[in-house]
Parts: sequence; C-alpha cells; structure tokens
Amino acid sequence: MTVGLQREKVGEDTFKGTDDKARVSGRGFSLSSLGAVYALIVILILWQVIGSMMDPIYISTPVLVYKNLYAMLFGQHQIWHDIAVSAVEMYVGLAIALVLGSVLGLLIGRSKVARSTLAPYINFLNATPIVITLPLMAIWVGVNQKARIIFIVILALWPVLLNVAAGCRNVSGRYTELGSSAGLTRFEMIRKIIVPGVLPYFLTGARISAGLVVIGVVVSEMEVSLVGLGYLLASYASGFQTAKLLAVFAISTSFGLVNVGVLTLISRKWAPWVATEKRGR
Amino acid sequence: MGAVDNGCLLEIKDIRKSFEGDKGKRNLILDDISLQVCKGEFVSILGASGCGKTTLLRIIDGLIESDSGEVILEGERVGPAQRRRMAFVFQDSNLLPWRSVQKNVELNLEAMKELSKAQRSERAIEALRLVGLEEVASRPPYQLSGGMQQRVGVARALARQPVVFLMDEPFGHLDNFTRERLQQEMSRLIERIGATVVFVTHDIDEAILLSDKIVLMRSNPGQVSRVLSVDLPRPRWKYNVRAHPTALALRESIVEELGLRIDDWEEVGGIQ
Ligand SMILES: Nc1ncnc2c1ncn2[C@@H]1O[C@H](COP(=O)(O)OP(=O)(O)O)[C@@H](O)[C@H]1O
Ligand SMILES: [Mg+2]
Repeated sequence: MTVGLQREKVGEDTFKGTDDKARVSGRGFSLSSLGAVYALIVILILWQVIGSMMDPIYISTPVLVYKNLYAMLFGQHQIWHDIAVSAVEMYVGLAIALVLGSVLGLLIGRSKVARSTLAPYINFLNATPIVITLPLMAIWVGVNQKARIIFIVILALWPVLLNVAAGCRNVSGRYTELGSSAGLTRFEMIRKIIVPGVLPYFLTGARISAGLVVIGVVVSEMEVSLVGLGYLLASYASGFQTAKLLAVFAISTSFGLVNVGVLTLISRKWAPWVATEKRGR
Repeated sequence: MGAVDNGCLLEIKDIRKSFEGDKGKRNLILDDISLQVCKGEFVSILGASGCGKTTLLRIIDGLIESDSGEVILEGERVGPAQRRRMAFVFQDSNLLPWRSVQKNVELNLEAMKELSKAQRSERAIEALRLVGLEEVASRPPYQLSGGMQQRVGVARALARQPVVFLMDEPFGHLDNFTRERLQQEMSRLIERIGATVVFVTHDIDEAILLSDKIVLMRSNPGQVSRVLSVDLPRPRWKYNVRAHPTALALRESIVEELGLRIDDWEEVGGIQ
C-alpha cells in the first residue's frame, strides 16, 4: 500500500458526446427532431387545404399569410417603422426590468429589513393582473411610448426580481459561510460569491422576462398606441384582415423566440453547471 | 492576557449557545462546553445528530458567536488573525461551480494578501497533490464524483496550512465504499503531516480509527459527557483497528455512554 491517494476515474461519458443532444432537446426549445418538422409540414398542408375551402377571414391560408408577410418586410406595405418602434420599447423595457429587478431582488434577498418592508407590496403587485394598470398608465403618463415602456417594465420585472431574491437566499446558506471562513471582506464576498452564485437565477428570470416583454409590447400597443406591432394587430383584427393579422403575429412571435433562444444560449455558456447539476440529481 | 502554556493549542472554555426556537423561546443548544486540543492531536467530537456539533465548530471558527465562553488559539482569544490560522472542512464540500477545482482551493487563500498570485496557485496545486487530485485541477467541480469533491474540500483546507483543521463530518454524505477509503486516506495524511484536527462525526468507528482523543457529546442541551483517549498504535489500518481489543473495549464504553443509557430511552418513550 502506498502513501499516495488513489485516484478515481472521472466519468468521461457523462459530459461528452451524445449527451449534448439530450440536453438541447431537454430544454424543450429546439425543433431539431425530424418528427416535429414532419408535423409542421402536415399542419401547413392541412391548413392550406381547409383554409382555401373557407372564407379567408376565418383562418386564412399559409400562402396568403406568407404573401402578406413578404409585402410587409420587403414589398409595398413595409412595416419596418412599426417593428422598430416595438423593438425599441421592448428592449428598453427589458433592460430596465433586468436592472431594476436585480437591484430589488438583491435588496430583498440580502436584507431582512428590506424584505419585511417590501414583501407585502411585492406580493400584492405580483398577484395583481398587471393589464389593469394600462388604462391608469394612459391617464397618468398619456398615450405615448413612456406609458408603454413603464407597463412593459412592470410586467417583466417579477421573474427577475423573484429569481434573484431566491438566488440570494440559496447562496447565503451554502456559499457565504465558505467565504466567511476563508476570511473574505464584505466586498469580496459580493464579488466572488454572491454575484456569480446569483447569476444563474438571474438568467432564469431574464429568460422568462424576455418572453414577457413581447406580450407587454403587444398588449400595450393594442391599448395605448397608434403605432407598433400591437397597434397593427389591433387594427387588422378590427378590419378582419386575418392574413395580415397572422403575418404580424408571426413577426411578434419571432421576437419572443429569438429573445428566449438568445438567453438560453447565454445561460448555457455562462452557467453550464445548472444543466449539469439538474441532470445529476 | 495570561496565556498559560500547558501545551494546548486550542482551548474552548465554557461555551454556551442558544437559538431562537418556536414561540419565541430560546433553545439551549450548547451548555458549558469546554475542551482542549494539543498540538498534533486529532480530537473527535462524537455525538448524535442535532446535539450541536456543527454549531460548536462554527463557533470555534468564528462563523457565529457564542452567548458566552471563549475560544483561545495559541494563547489568544480568537479574532480575525486567529481565524486565518484555522481551516474549515464543510459537511457538503460546497464547491463553487463557477470556479475550477484549483480556483476553488485558491479561494481559501485569497484573503491572505501576503501571498502572491503565483504562491497561491503553487499552494493550491500542492494541496491537490496531497489528496491525489492535481490532475483534475482545471476541471469544474461538478464533473467530479462525490468522493473527489470532498477531497477537494480537504485540499482547500490544507492549502491554508492552518495550525488547526476543523472538520465537520467530511465523509458523512458519502457512500460506504468511498467513505472507508477516504477515512483510510485521511488517517495516512494526518499521520504524515502531523496536523492538529478537531473532527466532528457521528460514526463511532471513524472516531476510533482517526482520533487520539474522543469527546463524547450528549444532546439537549449539548454537553461534554466524557473524554476518552484512544491508545492505539499508529499507523492504523481499518482492518486491524477494528478487531483490536483496545478498540473493542473503547467501542463498548462509547456505545454504553451514548446509545444505551436507560434515561435516554425513557425520553423517547421506552422500549416496547
Ligand atoms: N441557525 C440556527 N437557528 C436555529 N437553530 C439552529 C441553528 N443552527 C442549528 N440549530 C439547531 O441546533 C441544534 C444543533 O444543530 P447542529 O449543531 O447542526 O447539530 P449537529 O451538527 O450535531 O447535527 C439543532 O437542533 C438545530 O436545529
Ligand atoms: Mg452537523
């Protein structure tokens, strides 16, 4: 028997090769499987066949929707201005929501005083159907971009706030004692333990918020706007222009997919241990 | 402060600690705990779950404060300077997933501003070598098995080169095979580097294998019920310690003291 300590083998197969694929589809986001593609083709064909037998104001047809979409993006009815207005509102709103949500989340997660002071209001607001604030916003702020951005922020704030607060509490028990035993200063503790520890929680919240801002921009533009994707949706809906409506719908949905997709990729890059830990347990 | 040099490195005097319990009343967890740890000694604190072992260790390391009593290291009351000379090994290895194994070990050195970056990394590698893990230094910890993670936890403490190690059931969460092997490795390592260790466990055989002295703790409130010395030759091996007459006798008296006191049984409703 030697003095040296024996070495265990690390299970190579756990994190290489085939497993990556399982991880991607496990998140329920990609349409990579062939089955899904076939299903999509079948649905489109059925839609085309059934849609052409009916008045186009009901479900329209994929071909009509495509033609309208093309016209909106590259043809005579370009709507880039509306897309740009919506995108600006959405991303400004998202940025504010992420910053504000993180700050409030950290405050509530770290400080007992802040938690007991703010928790009742936060629970109240979180339980309120936020859409009802829209008319109020229009009265207080006016029918303008500011009102819409404020609404988007209020809608998208919660996932970040609640996740960051939960992350703080999780990090507190597990890791801060470690830092404390190592003798880290308060500042080092925040920089080296709390911020990286909370990051995956922040990203989880941010992913949900990135989906919510699309809802927020569309809903607020439907109510308090004369421009933007939401406004177009509302006016096409009232004019029974179903193909156009669905084309705008497709554009809005793409924003959601792109937002969530980008944040999923960022999470996987910045916090790869989250996926691994979940699978490991 | 009159430091009486009786060869004791670490002295714990009359530690009391209570926590807020249900309905606002305070639960006394530690009741006048005193013990002494000499240089190079391996002292186990052995007691049932919930008797306050972790709390005691946290008080020694200054992670929480006691209600009264004092902890004295090398003749001085424990303050920031003393805390730097102790190293804690946690029950779950608690490795930071965003740091590589080596960076996790280095975390424990980052408050030691007198060390350069190169020195920190050198010390970390050396500590990892001691536990046989220098080859996985650049891996993220979540790719390691539970046993390896726990060894990184030990390496993290080794890197500090402390005068006292505080270990809180470091093998408690491991499966039997891994635990047995790590116990044996720990025994070798400690004999080799001559470390002073306060080791918390609820495993009687583990305590006998590793310790020079066993402090038995009673629960509710946590009190020292007896201190036993383990007069077994070193180096010790699991298989020959287990059957050694001294170990058997020791085990007998520990079981009697901790497990089979009739008044304890009555408290839990007696034997039906
Ligand atoms: N921070 C705390 N607040 C309230 N009670 C605590 C706290 N930490 C520990 N306790 C209580 O103190 C007792 C002893 O806990 P602990 O020291 O973890 O025991 P052991 O490590 O021996 O299993 C337990 O009853 C536990 O519930
Ligand atoms: Mg414990």
